[in-house]
Amino acid sequence: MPHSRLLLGAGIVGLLALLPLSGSTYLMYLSTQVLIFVLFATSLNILIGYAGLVSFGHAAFFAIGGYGCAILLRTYEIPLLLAMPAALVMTAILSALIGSLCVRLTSYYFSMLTLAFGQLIWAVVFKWRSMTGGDDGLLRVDSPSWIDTPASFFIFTLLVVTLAMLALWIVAHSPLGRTLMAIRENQVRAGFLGVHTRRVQLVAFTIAGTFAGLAGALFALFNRSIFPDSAWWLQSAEVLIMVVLGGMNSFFGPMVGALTLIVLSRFTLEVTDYWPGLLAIILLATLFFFPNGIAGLLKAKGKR
Amino acid sequence: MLEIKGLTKTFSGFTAVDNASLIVKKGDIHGVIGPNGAGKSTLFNLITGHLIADTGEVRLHDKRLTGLAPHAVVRRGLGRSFQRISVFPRMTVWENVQIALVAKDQQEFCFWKPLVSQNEQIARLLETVRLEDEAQVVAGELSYGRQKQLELALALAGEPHVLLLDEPTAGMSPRETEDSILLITRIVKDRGVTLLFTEHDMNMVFGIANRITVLHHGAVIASDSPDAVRENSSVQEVYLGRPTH
Ligand SMILES: Nc1ncnc2c1ncn2[C@@H]1O[C@H](COP(=O)(O)OP(=O)(O)OP(=O)(O)O)[C@@H](O)[C@H]1O
Ligand SMILES: [Mg+2]
Repeated sequence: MPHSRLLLGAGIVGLLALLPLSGSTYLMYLSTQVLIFVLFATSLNILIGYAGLVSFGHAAFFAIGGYGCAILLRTYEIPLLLAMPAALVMTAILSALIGSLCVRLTSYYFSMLTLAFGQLIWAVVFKWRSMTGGDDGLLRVDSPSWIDTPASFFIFTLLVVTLAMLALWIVAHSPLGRTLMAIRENQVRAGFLGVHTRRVQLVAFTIAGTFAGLAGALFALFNRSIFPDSAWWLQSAEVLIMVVLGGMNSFFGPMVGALTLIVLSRFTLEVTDYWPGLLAIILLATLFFFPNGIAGLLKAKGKR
Repeated sequence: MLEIKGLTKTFSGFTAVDNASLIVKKGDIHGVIGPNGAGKSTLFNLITGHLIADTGEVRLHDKRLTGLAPHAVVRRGLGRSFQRISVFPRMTVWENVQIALVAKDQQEFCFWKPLVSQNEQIARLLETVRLEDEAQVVAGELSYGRQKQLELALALAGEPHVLLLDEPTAGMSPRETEDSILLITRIVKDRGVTLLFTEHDMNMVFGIANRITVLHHGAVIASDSPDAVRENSSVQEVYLGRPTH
């Protein structure tokens, strides 16, 4: 079973790698965006789906990775291949710090705390004008010449996201991933098996934050700019909806959710400005009619 | 081996465990009895670090357990089951035991490689508690008695020196009770673990324990051999319902 999945995954990646042959800039632009959000949503699902920790502030780490990479690249003129890893280390450290406070609490309190920290990061980004450009954002975040065409940037993103998704897949299926699920089901029992439950959750929080940071860094490069919006709670909500819509009980669910939502938002924005409203309706419909998301629907169909 | 000295726990003015002391020797099968609300579960929770004692201390192998978090207490060689069943209800029996082994091998932080199932060890544990036929059943769908067996497997997975079982047969049919008593005594003997348990079924307690502690209103009123406890006048007063003062 895992082998056939792996083959399927390799097949999809292989097909995607042929996309630049289509010559359509629009298609490549859209696909790059989808890939970035696939990674972002999957990183969040490590927390939601596996650990049962619903974060309302995941965009904070997306923004930290994005700003970190942009600032190092643009302000300090550090080459990308150094700037990106450095931004990730920074995101990891901040995720661990913020996480160590958040995992002290559970359920709603955890969610509220992540929301608060998310908004705090947003405020810092917004106010720290000299470093972040405040509400003007950071413009002219230029990629090095080897990835400055839509096609080459797309291939670069495909490579990075594929490797990152592979890493997240291993995390999800590792002893840690299984332990997270056990803690989610019964924290007290997990503790009495000898598991330091909070510390395991902290490791997961840090991993999730770091991969969100990677998505953020790609996002900044993709847009050649980054704005405080990327840390705003709406961004956290959007990625949360991707996870819920796609299905949080499956590793690949959030992938489907990201794809669906981005494609939908593209088409909707062309005809109306009411995207946030539609987003709310999608969320409600998902929660009421197919709580296991699209992936859950597909699975149920497959069983019948 | 396990030494409990002057443990006291109050819940907003109500003393649930009152200056309790007792000693569990290596290899003992030590029963704790007492009427409902006597403080048996509270005593267990104090030993395992689930609750923090107001005063007193617990020592295992002459090292202090008091003040340690539950996961650290487990690492020192203590295993437990709960009065209210506590398993991972949405995972299969197999997966339940698998988690227990991940924890025992301290692999819970290992995120860089896929989980490899220790099939043999899992199978052996399931065989020990006679759940080998239910390996693929979701734990929450097992009968009550079987879930208790699973809990036993979870507690045993950590290879504890001391096993704490809080009412291991509560809620079971007479048939299940008998089976699990046999099972528990056999495991204790085979594995050489020391057992501290609570139970309401007096026949069971007097049948298997070689040491009995009686709690009443949180205080230890006797801690002795079964015969001596049976003869103890204050114990008789408690159990025959005569006024204690
Ligand atoms: N967390 C708590 N907060 C307040 N009171 C508690 C708490 N836990 C236990 N108690 C009280 O402490 C007393 C002892 O409870 P405990 O559960 O230890 O008794 P027990 O001997 O295990 O009883 P049973 O035989 O019914 O299991 C009871 O009166 C109970 O109401
Ligand atoms: Mg009790």
